Amino acid sequence: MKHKLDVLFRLIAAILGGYLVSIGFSIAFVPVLVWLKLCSQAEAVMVATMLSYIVYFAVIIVSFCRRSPWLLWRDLLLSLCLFSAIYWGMEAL
Amino acid sequence: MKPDFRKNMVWLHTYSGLVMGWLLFTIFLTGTLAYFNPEITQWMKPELQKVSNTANMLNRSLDELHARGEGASGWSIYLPNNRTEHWYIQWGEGRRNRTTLSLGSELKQVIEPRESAGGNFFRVFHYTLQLRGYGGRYYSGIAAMFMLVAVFSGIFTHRRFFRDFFTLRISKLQKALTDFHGLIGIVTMPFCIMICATGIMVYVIMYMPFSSEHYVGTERQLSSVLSPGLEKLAPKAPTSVPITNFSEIERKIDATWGEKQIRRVTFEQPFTEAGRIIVDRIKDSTLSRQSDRLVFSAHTGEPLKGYLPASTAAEVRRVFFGLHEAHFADTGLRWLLFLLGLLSSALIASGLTIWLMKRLDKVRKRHVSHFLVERLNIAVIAGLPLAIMAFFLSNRLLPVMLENRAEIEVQVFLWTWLLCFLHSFLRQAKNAWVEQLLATALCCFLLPMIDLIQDSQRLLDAFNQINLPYLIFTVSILIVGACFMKTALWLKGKPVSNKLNKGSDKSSC
Amino acid sequence: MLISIFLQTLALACLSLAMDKHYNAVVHGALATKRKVVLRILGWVSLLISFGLLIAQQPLLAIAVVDWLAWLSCNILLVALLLCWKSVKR
Repeated sequence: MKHKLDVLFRLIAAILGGYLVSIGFSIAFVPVLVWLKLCSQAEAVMVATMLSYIVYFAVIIVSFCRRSPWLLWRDLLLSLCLFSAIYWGMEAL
Repeated sequence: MKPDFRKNMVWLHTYSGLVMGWLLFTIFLTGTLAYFNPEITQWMKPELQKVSNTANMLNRSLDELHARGEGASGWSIYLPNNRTEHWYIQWGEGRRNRTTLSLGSELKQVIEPRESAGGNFFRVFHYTLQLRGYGGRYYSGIAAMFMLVAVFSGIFTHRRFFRDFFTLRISKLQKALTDFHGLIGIVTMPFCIMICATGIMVYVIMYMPFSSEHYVGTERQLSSVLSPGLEKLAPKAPTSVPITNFSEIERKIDATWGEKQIRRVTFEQPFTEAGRIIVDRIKDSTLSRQSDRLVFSAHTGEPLKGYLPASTAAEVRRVFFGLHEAHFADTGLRWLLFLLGLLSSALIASGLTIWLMKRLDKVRKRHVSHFLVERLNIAVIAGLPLAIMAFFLSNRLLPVMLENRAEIEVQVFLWTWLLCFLHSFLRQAKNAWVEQLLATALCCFLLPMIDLIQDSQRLLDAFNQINLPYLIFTVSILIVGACFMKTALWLKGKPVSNKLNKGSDKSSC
Repeated sequence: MLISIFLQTLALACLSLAMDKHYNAVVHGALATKRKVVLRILGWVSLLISFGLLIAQQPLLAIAVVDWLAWLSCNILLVALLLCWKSVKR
């Protein structure tokens, strides 16, 4: 039973959490690219969205490697916080 | 690295493969067939004859358009090339409301090819699954993501194969299958990663629209910002007449691109002052999905300002798209990619079979999930080729003048597949395998025969005109049939005790 | 083009022979360290040459890379099948 719950949490983290984190990344990375003067905003949107799939993939793999689901969820929440901090920080600049 | 990392990867490999395996097999097999989209269409519309050597095709198309497409807001000319003999013109309003006319090599000759879904069915099916309105494209995106995860975790699951490279033991069936699975996994890994990653990139914004919606707008708005098109022409009442002789423009094009490089000529608002001609180059010489384009004025033939270059990000995405579609591939590379596609399908099929085999060997009493997996394996791995063959057969057997013929062909495909599902649930596993494989083989042998009986002139013409797509299609169908036959007979001769049988029948085709 | 593909097959064959197991299956005998090194170098060098040849032939670098990778995949399979056939025959 415990094993099954464990797997369930990991699955939710991988699929849902991964999606959320990659959305966060795809939004937060755009102002960074623009701020670094690497490309225009529309281009940055495209680049960030493409790269967000790599983030998604990484999250899926990580969620099945972390020792416990709680650590995993902590990491996911932390990265979401990080992305929103970047976003709001860039907004304030 | 923690010791249980590998264990986790094995688990991930097993279940990501199992959950999506059948869907992936379907997508990979139909997608592989889509590599030969125009060639299959050529076979499915045997009325199309060799036209690519006709002289002066552009001017003849133009004459026809002048005669028939008076006042239309758009004209287009599609020229035949080395992959298709379909030469046709279109005219009408907008994108949807258009009339199509296929031209033949004789002067004024018009060809009426039968209505058929053609090879395009496989292309559309492999990403929409015939569920376009119901999120079909999302399912295939999810499947692609699963495949990437399965490939990645597979690297750790079948680590042994990196140590024993090039090894294939065929002493015992299960061992042989596992070795085969690992070997094919290595062989097709770059291909699978490329196909899945580029497949996701095709709908990159559709699957992850949030960033775009937050900063720019819908996908369409984003792409118009990234790769600006020409300014829109307002539809107006006819004021001028488009050119009647294309030779001048053709000479200019030949000077820039070289000979025989035109794929399509589009006239936008040909009957207004601002009307323009857009000439698309064939896609042989670029990885990108969008080939070069030139723009001319529709009623003077003078060159106009062309398209602005797309931004780098958009160009990268186009290259991804182009890699996925592989229009750039010459015949050799195309066959290689086709082979790799078949091998990947075999990879998935063997993975599914191994899952079941390993478990059936261990358990005394069967779980319902074993039953389900076994039946789904049969219905997908053996049933899908049967459904595809039924689709081809229906193309020849349905009356030519039938209404909605293309749609009925697709219906035949779907119903046959459904029957395969029912059949696999009703029969014993081994019998179901053998019968479906045999049925597929039978269809493969029947197909060229029916073709010959219906119209033996077709084959003769194909020989005389060296219609390669037609001939190669016929030969490959026969070879595929022989492979299925052999697999089925081999299975039949095997003792039942082994409980299961191999599913990688396509490895040998 | 053909030369390049053939070189690739040769390269992979050399590389596979540089592995004890496969050498044993083909030549019946232990693999000397020196020969192993030679085979390995030969394999990698001809792999590089085949890549160079293909690039020299294809006007577009990107298409050449795709071409080369596709052939490489098929050649790996071919070599594996050959080795398998060889070890069965024994």
